[in-house]
Amino acid sequence: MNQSVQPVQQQAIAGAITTPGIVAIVDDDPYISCALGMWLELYGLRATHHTSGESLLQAIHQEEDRLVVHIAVGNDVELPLIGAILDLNLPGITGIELAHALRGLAPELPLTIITALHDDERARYGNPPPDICCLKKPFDLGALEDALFQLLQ
Amino acid sequence: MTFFDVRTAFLILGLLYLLLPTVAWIVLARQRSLQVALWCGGGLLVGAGSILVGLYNSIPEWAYITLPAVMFRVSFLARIQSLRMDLGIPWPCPWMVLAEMAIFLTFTGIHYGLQDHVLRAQFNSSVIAGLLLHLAMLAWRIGRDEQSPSAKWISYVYGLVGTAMVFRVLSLTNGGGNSNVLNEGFSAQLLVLSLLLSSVIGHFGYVGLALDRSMRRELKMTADRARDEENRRLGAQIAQLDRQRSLGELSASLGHELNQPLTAILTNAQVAKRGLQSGRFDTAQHTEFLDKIVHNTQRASQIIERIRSFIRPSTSRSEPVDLNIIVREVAELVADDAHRSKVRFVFSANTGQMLVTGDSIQLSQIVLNAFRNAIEALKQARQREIQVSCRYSNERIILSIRDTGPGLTPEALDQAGTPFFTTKSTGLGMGISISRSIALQHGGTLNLTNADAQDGGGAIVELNFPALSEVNL
Repeated sequence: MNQSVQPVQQQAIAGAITTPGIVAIVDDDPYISCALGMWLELYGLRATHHTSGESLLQAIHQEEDRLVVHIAVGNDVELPLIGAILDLNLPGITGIELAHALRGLAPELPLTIITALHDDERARYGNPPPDICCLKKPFDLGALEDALFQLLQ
Repeated sequence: MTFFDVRTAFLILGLLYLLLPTVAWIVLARQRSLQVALWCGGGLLVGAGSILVGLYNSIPEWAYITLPAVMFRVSFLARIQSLRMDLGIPWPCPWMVLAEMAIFLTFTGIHYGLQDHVLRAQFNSSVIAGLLLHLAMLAWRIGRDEQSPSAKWISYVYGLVGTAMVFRVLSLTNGGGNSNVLNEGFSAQLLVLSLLLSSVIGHFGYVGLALDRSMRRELKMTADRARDEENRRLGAQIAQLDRQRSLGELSASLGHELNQPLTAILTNAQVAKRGLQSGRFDTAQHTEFLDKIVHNTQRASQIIERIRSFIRPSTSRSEPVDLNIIVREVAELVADDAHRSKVRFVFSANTGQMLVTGDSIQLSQIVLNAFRNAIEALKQARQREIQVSCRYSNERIILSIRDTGPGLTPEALDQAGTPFFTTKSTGLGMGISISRSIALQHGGTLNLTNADAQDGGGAIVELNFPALSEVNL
């Protein structure tokens, strides 16, 4: 249930998107999770980190037509979930199961799955929702930017 | 009818029977054994006895009648025992001593009690004839079994002496005759002649037989050595193949594991680059990115090192190996597999090193096979644990690897370890049999059992190795 919030910095940088929301990163490798958090920060986005799908699902709930994430660090706040980066191979439910669950809750939510598995191995975990981009680790940040920001915009 | 002087012949016979066993003993310096000693010692006794017989009337009566009779009997008994030991059917020694004592008592009874010297000679000659013919029979069996002409010659010559002895008994019966062998006619001459022949052929034949045997033994040893060498080489190759196969199966998960630090490196580097371009991060933050890149590079190189050390083509090494370290290393090697199958390792606390002598890679292979089998077995299990304990007991180190799976079926328990038997849909079924042969090579054992059902069940692989002696635990 590791949760932390990157310091909120609202200064815009070139090409940055400033949306009052938060991106969920679900990966059990803290180094990857942390690096992705810093990357989001570059674009003025905040990140919430979870090491398992169950942990993220517990922290979110539906509010009107959108999902909000409960952040239990510091002052309890609730922020709209605007996207998620999911590792496939997680303790507990898989990234694909998590993607399906999130799709069910919020059909428009931008999602990207990242995995170290090859396509043939990935097939064993079942199919992700149709429009979701699966990136093979190690991935180029440009590809992740394309995948996620296209959706964010 | 006299061809030669029997007394002289007995003296010559005595000298030959003293000389030739000695020569045989010297020649067979490298083949010496109890059997050779019995054969040569028996010969010396015949020699001494023959000289005593030849000294007829020059020494006290017991020394040329009673004593040589004992010496002849004992000598032939010794030779019989020598051949019986070769054939693997030795007579019990107390039994032979008792028999000789009974014969001795009967002999002295007839000689001193009944004073019947002819009967005494007949009795003694019959006993010796029996011994000689038995000796001939044994030599013939050896000649047949080992296809040795030398042994057959021994058989013929003692058969001849035995027959001459029977002939003497008969001539004593028919002619009444003289109980003293030196004063008898043809039968005594035949006997001494055959004995002379036996002195030569008996020893040359025996030396020939012993040399034949040692040559055969050396040939067999060379062949065995070559076969052992071949087996070891094949064993190493199979083990190497098994390792490569394991590694092939592990490669997916190792690749996955290696991708984690690589992803962290790439992401940190790209974020840092973007940060530099936008001027967004300060120096401290950039230093942090670089630190993480360094750290993850080391992490990746450790993973590569683990794989590399496992595929080193190994000629068997023999060095102190700490089983505790092996177990941890291999657990790391399969960590990703275990993680994916949601299997947890439980190491029971143990103190200090668990040192055995052997090849660390081969020992890792046993542990790897056990872990992978356990992970496989736990796929359907509710509780997924691999419990590992390593303990020292009575100069042995016992490593036990237990899973909380369904355990082995009775059929699998019975068959596991038979090459190519497998309950898995994948795999060659060689794992346990390779593990077992590696354990054997390390002077250890590998046992497969099931834990008590009330204890939760599950399969247990128990490895038992001799502890390294210099270590005090």
